[in-house]
Amino acid sequence: MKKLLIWTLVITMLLGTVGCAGNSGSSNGSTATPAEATPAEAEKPTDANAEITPEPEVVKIGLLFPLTGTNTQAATEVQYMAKLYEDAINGIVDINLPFHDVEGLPNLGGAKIQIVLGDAVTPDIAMSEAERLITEEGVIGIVSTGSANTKTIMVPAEKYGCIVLTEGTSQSLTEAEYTYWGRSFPGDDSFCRDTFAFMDYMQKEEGADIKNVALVCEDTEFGANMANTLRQYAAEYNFNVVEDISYSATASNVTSEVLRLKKADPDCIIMSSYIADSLLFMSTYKEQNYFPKMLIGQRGGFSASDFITNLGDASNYCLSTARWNPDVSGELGLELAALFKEKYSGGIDLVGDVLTDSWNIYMLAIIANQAGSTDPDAMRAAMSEGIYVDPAQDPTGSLGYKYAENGQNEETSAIVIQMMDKARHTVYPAAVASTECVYPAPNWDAR
Amino acid sequence: MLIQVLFEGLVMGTIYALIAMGIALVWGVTNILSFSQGEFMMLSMYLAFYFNTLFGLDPVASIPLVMAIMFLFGAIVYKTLISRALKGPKLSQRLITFALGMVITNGMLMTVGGQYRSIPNLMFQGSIDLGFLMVSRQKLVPLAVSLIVTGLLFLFMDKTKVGKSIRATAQDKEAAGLMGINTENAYMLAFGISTAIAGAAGCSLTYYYYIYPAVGAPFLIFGFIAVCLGGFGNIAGAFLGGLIMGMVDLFTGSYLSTTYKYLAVCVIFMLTVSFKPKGLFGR
Amino acid sequence: MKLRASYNRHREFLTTFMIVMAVLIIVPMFIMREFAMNVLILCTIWSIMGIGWNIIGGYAGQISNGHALFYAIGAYVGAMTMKWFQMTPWISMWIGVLLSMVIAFVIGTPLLRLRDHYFAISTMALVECTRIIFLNWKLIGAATGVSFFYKKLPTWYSWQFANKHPFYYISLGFMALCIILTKAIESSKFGYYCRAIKANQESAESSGIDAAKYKRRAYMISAAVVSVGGALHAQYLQYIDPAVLLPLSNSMLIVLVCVMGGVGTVWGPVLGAFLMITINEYARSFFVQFSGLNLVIYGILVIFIVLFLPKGLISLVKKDTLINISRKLMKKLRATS
Repeated sequence: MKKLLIWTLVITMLLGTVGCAGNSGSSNGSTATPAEATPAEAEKPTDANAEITPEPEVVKIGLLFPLTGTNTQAATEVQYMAKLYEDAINGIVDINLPFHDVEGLPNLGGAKIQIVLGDAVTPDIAMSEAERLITEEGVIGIVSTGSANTKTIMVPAEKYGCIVLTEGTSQSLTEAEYTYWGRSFPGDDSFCRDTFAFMDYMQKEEGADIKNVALVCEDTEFGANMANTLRQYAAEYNFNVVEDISYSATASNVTSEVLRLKKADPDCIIMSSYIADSLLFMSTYKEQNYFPKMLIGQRGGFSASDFITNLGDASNYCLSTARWNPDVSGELGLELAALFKEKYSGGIDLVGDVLTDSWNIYMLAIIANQAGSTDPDAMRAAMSEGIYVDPAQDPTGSLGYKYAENGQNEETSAIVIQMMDKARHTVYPAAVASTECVYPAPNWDAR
Repeated sequence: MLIQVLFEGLVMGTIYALIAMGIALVWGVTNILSFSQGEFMMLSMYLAFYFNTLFGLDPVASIPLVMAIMFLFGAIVYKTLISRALKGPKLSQRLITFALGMVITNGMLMTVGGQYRSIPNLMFQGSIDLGFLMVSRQKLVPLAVSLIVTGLLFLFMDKTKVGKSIRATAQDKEAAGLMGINTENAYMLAFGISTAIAGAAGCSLTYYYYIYPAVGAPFLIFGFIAVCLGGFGNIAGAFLGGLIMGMVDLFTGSYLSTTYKYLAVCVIFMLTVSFKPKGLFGR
Repeated sequence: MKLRASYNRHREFLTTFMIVMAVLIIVPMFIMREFAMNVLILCTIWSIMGIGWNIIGGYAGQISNGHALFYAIGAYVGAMTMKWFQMTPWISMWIGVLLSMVIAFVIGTPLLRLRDHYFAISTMALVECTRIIFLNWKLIGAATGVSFFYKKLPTWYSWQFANKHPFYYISLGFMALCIILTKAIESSKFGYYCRAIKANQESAESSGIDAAKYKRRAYMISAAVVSVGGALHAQYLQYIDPAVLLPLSNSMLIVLVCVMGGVGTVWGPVLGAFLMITINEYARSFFVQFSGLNLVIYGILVIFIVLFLPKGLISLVKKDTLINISRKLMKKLRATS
């Protein structure tokens, strides 16, 4: 009897999940079944496609972020932002973003957008989820983060044809010759070059005395790639690398790392860390009463909202490269940050990476709208031509969106921010800086 | 720098030791490899955090309270899950603690969310600069807690009747039963105590580590290695194993290479077990 | 005559095998949803890994928590040979198997002397070591991993198909091979010795069984099978890196899949893999709104099975179920004709 009960329970559960998961999937007319994909794609004209398939009422955009694991806070905040954008496009909230004055996307017959979630905690799960989003949910595009995840997401995306916009900064992505991938903001190359350009600028214009540099990078994809590129640019800009530390992001302590840094005594430390390890480093610095004259983070943990929330004033003087900061795009940026904090995030500040990661959602809608269709090839063609976004309606302050063949948006650039008084201020380049960089950073007991 | 490294190694060592002792206790008595020890520690960190936010209690002050709560929690977990698993195959016992750990971690993620938290107003802050040595008050707390808890544990196991009955059960369950010891209770107590130890570890860890649902994982494998180094079910061995690991961690990291410091720990461990298959002090 | 005799001896297994394979071959022909095919492919791959682990853990009783190592070796060999030499996985898979067996031999000799928990923890430490080494080994890509997505190679050569079905049938084929291997081991003298060692190593040794030799052999075979699974998975993902392949949770998952199904049985790992992977994948897609709910469900399911079905899911299937079903079917067919 017990066995029969258990069996029935198990089978009902299985059928139930399969059935429910099945019902929630609806295929979009332009997502061809894979059997037809390879031969027929070349012959299918985009006009005929637009005529045959009726204008969709709802356009789905996939969001693949780590929803489990150690880095979920960013995903939570991106979800809040996604809801904000959904409301803006669908006409529920009024803020000066594209399409805010009409309901839905005008060139797609007023189609509203709907965000579909997927978990991307590890690359193999990300691939599974991308598969599901493309084939079952019929998304017109996927937004994700992380270079490792991007690589596996591209496998089904290239196969079925689906635009993927991610901010994975690794060089290997631009070198991989993907057809359907795009990156709207700078990659590793840009960030590293701008880091050293900034240090150079500080030396020449502000008279800072920076000769010795230490690199502190975590040992997975993000950190390891940054380390390679940083070394390259350090040599190019003639800085002396005195300590090159690669550490495990899930370390139980970073004391030996900090002791080595203290011994090497560099003028500037460049760190590529996630939130957990960056917090650990900061508290260990404080413990050991050590702080370099300049500390530049490479986004990651330094761009996370939890950094300032947890450290408070201890985060003062830290610099970081960034893709965006509320003070860099005028009124719209500040308005958006305020709206986010008040109505969508329960009081959490809007940080650069959350905006830029989520902005790709909006980009997908804009691209589809400009292309006049949700066909991936049409969208990609529009991306190559250049996407027009009215600067007054673009909170990122970007100079433009033109995606080269390797996927990189060529008209974007990085900024450097400094944290002071529990807020982030842009300090470089001078054209967009809101304040001057405070240098040198005093040690803990001098604060 | 040498003295600093020694000191820091000692501190890390005692932290590993605390976690290892909890695992060793459960292993020694019930012969279960508890994969959920890290998660119990994480739970106590959150408890310390909430006591601090709601009642303004400093983590050190809340240690007795947290230990009591975790003891009860451990006893309940034992009664409901572990005791039943013990009747089944050995493999299932290990998996049940692993699954429990998974449920606790993700349950916390679901309920409290993924924000990293820390305790802002710690009682002991700052550092004492002795010139040749920088002593961080925040690291002194885990060191002190660890030593005190270890001392209390040894006293308990050695001098009290309950402690001795637990040790007897660990040595030979049947014989202990024949001597009139309630072995079921002994098991439950052992599990509860080890959870309480994880509770103390968690509270003291909030002094320098951040609080997050997945925080238990990095410490777990090193807890296992420390226990193995020390030897089967030997609490003193686990303590020493933890200290050794802390030292290796700090010395390799500071003098050799930070990249490979955990590799060094694992290699030393594997070499030790290859030559002494039952650990340094195992029987 | 001999064939007839062995058929009789293994009749039950052969019937079950035929029926299960028939279902697994025919039903997917009608499944058009890519996601379902994705899940099925993962099920077959994890079955292979569970079967591999079963050999050392289920039959020989040595509980290893470090099989992710061989999974990674199989994956990396397949990936690197594809990247450097564009070698087809049909061939490179066997290189991976060979390498895994060699490594299993080398580390098995000292490690298998350890008992119980020591062995388990040492295997975990070994995987950690490997993870750190791979993470920093520039030759095989270090942290950047290996990405080998080639559109230009012919598909049956490179195993990179536009459609999921061919890959599914390839991995189903390997799964069938592994099942037959397990059955062969179970019914052989080797399997008998392993079971004796599992029951009580000392008594087995006193009966003259060279425990060390047989344990090592079981470890090598186990490594070979898991490495096959690794190679398949790598070809499916077309991107691997140490963080994906070698965390502790992967090793535990391999153990979990086998134990949930039923340790020391031929069909246990298969059943376990199919059920656990299906539930995991669908739970994740269903409950994606609540971060972590799917893993909570997974954990609760494991606890449930451990407590109420200690011998694994296979205990739910009565011994002669499938053969009885087939007998009834045959009777009905005869009655109608």
